[in-house]
Amino acid sequence: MARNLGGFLVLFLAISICEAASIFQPISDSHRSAALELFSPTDGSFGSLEETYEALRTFEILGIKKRPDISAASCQSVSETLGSSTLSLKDVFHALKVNSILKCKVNDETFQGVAKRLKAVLNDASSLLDFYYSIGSLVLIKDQNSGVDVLLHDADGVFRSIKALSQSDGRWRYSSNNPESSTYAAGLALEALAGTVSLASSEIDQSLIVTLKNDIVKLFDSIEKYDDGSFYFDEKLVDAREHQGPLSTTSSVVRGFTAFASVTSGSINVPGDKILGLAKFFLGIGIPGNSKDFFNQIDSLACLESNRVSVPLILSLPATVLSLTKKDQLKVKVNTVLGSSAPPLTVKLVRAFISGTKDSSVIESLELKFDPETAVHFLDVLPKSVDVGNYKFVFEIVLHDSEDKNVYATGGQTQVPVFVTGLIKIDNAEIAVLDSDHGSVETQKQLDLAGENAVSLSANHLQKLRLSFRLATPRGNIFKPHQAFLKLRHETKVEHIFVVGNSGKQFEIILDFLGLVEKFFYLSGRYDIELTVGDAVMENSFLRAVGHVELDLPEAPEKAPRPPPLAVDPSSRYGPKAEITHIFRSPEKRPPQELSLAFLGLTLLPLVGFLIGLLRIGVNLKNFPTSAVPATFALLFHLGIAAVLLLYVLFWLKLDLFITLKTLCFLGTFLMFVGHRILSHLASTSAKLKSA
Amino acid sequence: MVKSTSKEAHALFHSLRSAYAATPTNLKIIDLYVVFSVFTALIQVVYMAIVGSFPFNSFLSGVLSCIGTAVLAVCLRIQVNKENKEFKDLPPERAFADFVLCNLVLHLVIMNFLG
Amino acid sequence: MAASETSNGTALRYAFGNVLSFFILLLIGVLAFSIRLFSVIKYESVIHEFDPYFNYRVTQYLTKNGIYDFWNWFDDRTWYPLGRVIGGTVYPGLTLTAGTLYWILNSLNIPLSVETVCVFTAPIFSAFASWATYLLTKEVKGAGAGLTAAVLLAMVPSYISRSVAGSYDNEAVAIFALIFTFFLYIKTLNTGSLFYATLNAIAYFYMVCSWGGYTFIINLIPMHVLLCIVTGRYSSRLYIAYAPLVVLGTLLASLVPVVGFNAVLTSEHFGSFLVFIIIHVVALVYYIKGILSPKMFKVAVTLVLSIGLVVCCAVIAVLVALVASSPTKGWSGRSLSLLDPTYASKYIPIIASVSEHQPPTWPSYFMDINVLAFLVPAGIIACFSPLSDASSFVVLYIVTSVYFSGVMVRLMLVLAPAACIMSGIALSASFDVFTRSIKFQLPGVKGNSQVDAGDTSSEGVVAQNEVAKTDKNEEALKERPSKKNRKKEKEHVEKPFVKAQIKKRLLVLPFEASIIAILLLILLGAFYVVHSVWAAAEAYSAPSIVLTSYSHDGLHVFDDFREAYSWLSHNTEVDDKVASWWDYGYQTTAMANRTVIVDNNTWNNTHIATVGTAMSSPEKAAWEIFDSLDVKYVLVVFGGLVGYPSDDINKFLWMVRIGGGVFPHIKEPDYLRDGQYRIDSQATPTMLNCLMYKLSYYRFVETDGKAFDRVRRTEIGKKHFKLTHFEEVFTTHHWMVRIYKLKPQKNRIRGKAKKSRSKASSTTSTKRSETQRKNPWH
Repeated sequence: MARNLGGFLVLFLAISICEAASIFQPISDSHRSAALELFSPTDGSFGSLEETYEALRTFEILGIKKRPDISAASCQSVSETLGSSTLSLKDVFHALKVNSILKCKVNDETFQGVAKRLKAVLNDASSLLDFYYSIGSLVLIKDQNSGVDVLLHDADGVFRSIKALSQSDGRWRYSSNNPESSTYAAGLALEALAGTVSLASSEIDQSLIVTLKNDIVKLFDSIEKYDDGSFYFDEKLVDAREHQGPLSTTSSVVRGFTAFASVTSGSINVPGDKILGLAKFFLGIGIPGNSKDFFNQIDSLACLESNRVSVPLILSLPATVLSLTKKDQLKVKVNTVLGSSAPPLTVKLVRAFISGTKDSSVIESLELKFDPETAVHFLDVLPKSVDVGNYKFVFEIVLHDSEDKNVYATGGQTQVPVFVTGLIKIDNAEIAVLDSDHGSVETQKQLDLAGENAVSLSANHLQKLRLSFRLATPRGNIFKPHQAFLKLRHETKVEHIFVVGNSGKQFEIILDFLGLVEKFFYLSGRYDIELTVGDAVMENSFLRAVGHVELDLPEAPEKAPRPPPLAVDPSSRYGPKAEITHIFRSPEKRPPQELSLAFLGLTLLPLVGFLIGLLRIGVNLKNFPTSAVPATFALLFHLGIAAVLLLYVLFWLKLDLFITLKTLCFLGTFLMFVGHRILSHLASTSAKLKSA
Repeated sequence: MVKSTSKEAHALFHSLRSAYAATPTNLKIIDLYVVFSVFTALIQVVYMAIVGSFPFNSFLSGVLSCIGTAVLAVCLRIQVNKENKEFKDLPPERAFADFVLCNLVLHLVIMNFLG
Repeated sequence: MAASETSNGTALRYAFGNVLSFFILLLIGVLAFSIRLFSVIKYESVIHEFDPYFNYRVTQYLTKNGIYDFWNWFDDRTWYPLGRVIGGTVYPGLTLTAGTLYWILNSLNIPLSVETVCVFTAPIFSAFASWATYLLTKEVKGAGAGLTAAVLLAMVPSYISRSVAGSYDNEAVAIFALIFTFFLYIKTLNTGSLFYATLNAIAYFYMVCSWGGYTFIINLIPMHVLLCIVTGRYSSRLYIAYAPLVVLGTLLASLVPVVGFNAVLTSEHFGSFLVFIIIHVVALVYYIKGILSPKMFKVAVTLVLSIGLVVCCAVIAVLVALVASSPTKGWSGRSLSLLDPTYASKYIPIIASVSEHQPPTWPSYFMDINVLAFLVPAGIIACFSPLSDASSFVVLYIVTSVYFSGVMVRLMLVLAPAACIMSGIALSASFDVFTRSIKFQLPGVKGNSQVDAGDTSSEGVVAQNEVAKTDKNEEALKERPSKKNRKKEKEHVEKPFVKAQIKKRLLVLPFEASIIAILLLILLGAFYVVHSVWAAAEAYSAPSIVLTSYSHDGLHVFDDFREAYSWLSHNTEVDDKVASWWDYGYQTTAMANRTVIVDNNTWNNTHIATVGTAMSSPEKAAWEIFDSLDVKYVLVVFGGLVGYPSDDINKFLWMVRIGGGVFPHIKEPDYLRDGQYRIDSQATPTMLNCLMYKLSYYRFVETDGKAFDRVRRTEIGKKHFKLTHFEEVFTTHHWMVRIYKLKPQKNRIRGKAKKSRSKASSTTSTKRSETQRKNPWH
């Protein structure tokens, strides 16, 4: 049972995987909600300016109006950062970026000062990051405040010095003194160069641009590819200060590349399918978990959306599962990566074939109709040749006017897996018990597998059980599901599972109990019958109790295999163990309180008697020394004894043995001294008395 | 016969009292002390007989402390007794010091045993 | 005028005597200490046999974790899976003593390791013991006898056997405690002061802490009290000596966790309570007798006696009831086997299986107390003239201890001090007689002659000191006369001197006879000295952990045990369980620091029986038993190659008996070929197939062609066989210790599954390698 369900789960999982495997949905509202979750300001502002910028930028791209209002806090930190005399390039850069979105009120002097300092930095900048940040900041200043003079006078020099860091394979080094070349750095470098070009007071000489373009081409040669046609850049440099994953690397490259393409004229011959592949890569990520990835994804998609080289168009299907019985339409949408509408075009269904079989295509080139108000290309009814099953549809986008062709990247033919499901008809299902020797039917029951039915059969080990049914698709063809199991379960939870084989047109299984006696561990009695028929495209997959059969099998001989212990279900195996209950010795019964108290009083009685007796005898303290010194000693002696007794009480109450013994040492010595004095004194007096 | 024995017993008690009246006061005090502790012990034993000896160590320490003090007191009495010829050389003060020391030790142990 | 002269002469001799006896005692202590160092000199400073290792481990724990942790220490390293509460089941006296020594030394910045302290604890305490003996004997028969007894005890072999350096066992301390307790008892009896009574109780407490043999004291002293009362020697001193001891002693004893309430519940102690009551009755009787006129007392006696009888009967009835109610009639197995020598062998094989619980043989008497055995009767006679409380006590002591030592070899140890005291008394008395008779036949004035005697003896002392310590007793005897008759003079100093002389003249022996007798006595002493030195050097100084053997080609040292234990500690997991016969449990936990199943503290018979059953069942069954105890390694001791007699094969019958006692399917006759135990080709198939045989003789034939067992002096029965469930992992250099590992359970299904899975994974991996990289984001 659990096993079958597991089978289903695995099946559906697999389907969902290969469904997502090559469908790229453009950015949708799920991204927007995710953005609001990911970029949630903590107490009115984001952690750092960088994060603030990422959040703001994401919201801007996604066109989220109801962004959390953080402008006050961020603006203040922006102005602080810009105003501060000690500038750290990174902060300034991000501050300016934030400012570019928030449009805080920053007065020109600050911009002037910052720009001056940035230029100073730029002049003696050596490492790539310095260039990147300073130039980036200058660019930002430029388009935030046109008044400030940020133009570079020797743009060529800067350009060359950045270019000097480039490698032959199109990647860049972070600084001249470490040889490690990195793709991420390449992205930064390109962006910086783009900034340089835009800042150049005079025209950069074209040869540099051309070489740089070749570099870019080389860089794109080192692009990586996934099997679903998505391209990405990966970071070779592993021991960088922080390792950049493919996502951040790719996004930095895309950012730089698009920025550069936007500032330079002339074409960069990067094939459109690579751009499309990059777009697919970013879209394929789905919704990243952390804000950094999210920002990279959205930002680079935005770059791609508005790039100059070629805008990728994404072909997506709202539903890839079409039900024959419900007569679903095949719908196709074509958008840009951010989901904005595409130029006029037509989508052609080039061909469709059952997945797994490459050649035999069921459909040849159909043209999808276009529904302008929903912007959906659709195919109102599937052709007769399409039956239940999973297919691969191959679409092609044909742009209408020709100059769009070099603006948009359609990526040729797109292959989409489509599942065509339907209700499966189950007919002439029957279960029968037949005698083994000649197949004469003893009892035979018709089954209605669509509904409940509880047949009760009885058989002995000389007979056979036959179960047979027939499956047909809506189109009337024979249908072969993935799973067709028959399960017999004994009262003692011993299960046996048989695969129902199919003979041509109908499914049939014959259990010859004579052969199965051994397998059934000679367990006679009632066996519940369960039939499982399941398939991904079968809308009415079922797992149904058919009924039960009373088996009487021969007695188990010696050395017959014992039935195996029941398989513990994993939840109990990995779940919490049964709690061990400890057995404590039960406390002895205590006497009633009153009794004890009464006896406590009783124990005091003899003491009273003792005192009375003392009085009657007439105890006298005339032996108590009268002169001062012995008297004090006597007093001390008694005090000492009292102290020792007190110490004992304390010992009983809380002290431990060693403290008690230590204290006892001191008390004891004191007591001995005093006692010796007083007693010797007494002795002497008594001796005097005797002598006298 | 019974009559005679009872009379003898009576006479015996008479002579006992008269003989005991002769004992000096400090011995009487000690005797009283002994009797007192013995009675305390007896009461505890009765208690034990009634409710059972569950916290056995406390019962033991209770009774033994009484018996112990009684025994020590008896020893003291023997030593300070003037009539006792064996302890001529032992002054009563020394005996008393020993008595105190012994008691202290005894009660230290008892306190420890009381748990 | 003579009296005055003698009086200041006596004062002078007093001084001499005290200084002398002090020096002599010092030398005796040194002697007692040094004679026990043979083992350290011949071998090394290592802890001996089995139990000492446990004590050593406990001491380590104590010094590391402090006393409170030690007090409630639950040891999970032994008796797996039961564990053992060490704090509650061990006699802490020895451990605490050594711990205190260690602590003191370290606080004095004398950095000795715990092991060193443990090794030297026994000799130190034997020195103390000899001093205690001096004190005791001095109380009984005067200083001279004391010195003699001390010397004898310092060298008595049976005590040496338990207290050589390194045998770190309870007895080492306990004997001192025993003697000292007796001394204090006698002292109290003589002085009748409460102070000594208190000390006595505390010494008794120390004894209870250190040894189970304290029951000997708590039974011997009441017996003596009873004896005194019966012989009409009751005195109030007796009361003072006994009554506080019972009360305080019982309380103190029940402070020790091992004893606990047994001190009042088990019937080893009931005797003392009974006597306690009796002595009170008697005291009352004496008191009344004191204050009444005899005539009235006659009357009183009738009443008091009747009442007293009634009380006694009631008390006895109560006691009997208690005894009957308490389990095993209130007597623990060991003490029962004391009273009834055949008890143990009948009922408790574990107790019987220990060699030192067997009744001794006559040679062992001669071996252990040598000439003392002959001197003891003389001592007893000497004690009867005159009979004092003290001497009667000593006589009682010797008699009972002789009986007990007749029951258990181990209790020879209790006999030894008594024998020493007795023979000390005897020797001193005889020397006294002889020297006096010599002196009176010598010409010259007695006074200066005595002085001569005095300082000759003193010179003698000095001389002797340089020469050799071993003649100390002899020389202690030499200087006896002066002191002896000085003592006599002191006794009747008020008598006219002359009369004393005459009285002495009466018991004078002929001159030559006494000379010869003295020489003979000296010879006897010398013989004793030689014997005990030999015993200390040869017989008793072997630490059974390292063995040596002389053969034609010199000395062989077998250090296999430590080799095996260190192998265990280095090559096995920390929490592996090692199964072996219980003799090696303590050593394994202490030296290899591995968890054992059973060890030498045999508190759980069933558990030991389980191991015994495993050892005596065939391989598969044994494997199952061991596996159920999740044992990883099995350790057997095998002497067949080097001829080490006390190996597991020789102990095997005990394993069978103990195992069979609990698991009846193990039957001793199956292992005996018509009543005799043999492992050669005549042996029974059960014997040849049991685990112990296989583990012992596995691959034994490979050593010499024909597998000749040097202990059993035969060729073994089954030579070539394979082990199916065990594999040999280690065998020491001389094959004395062999360690086997339990083979893991083979598990077919798992193996098949693994194969298939591996295949699958390989195929998938190949597939992956040829396909293109999958997009990880999906």
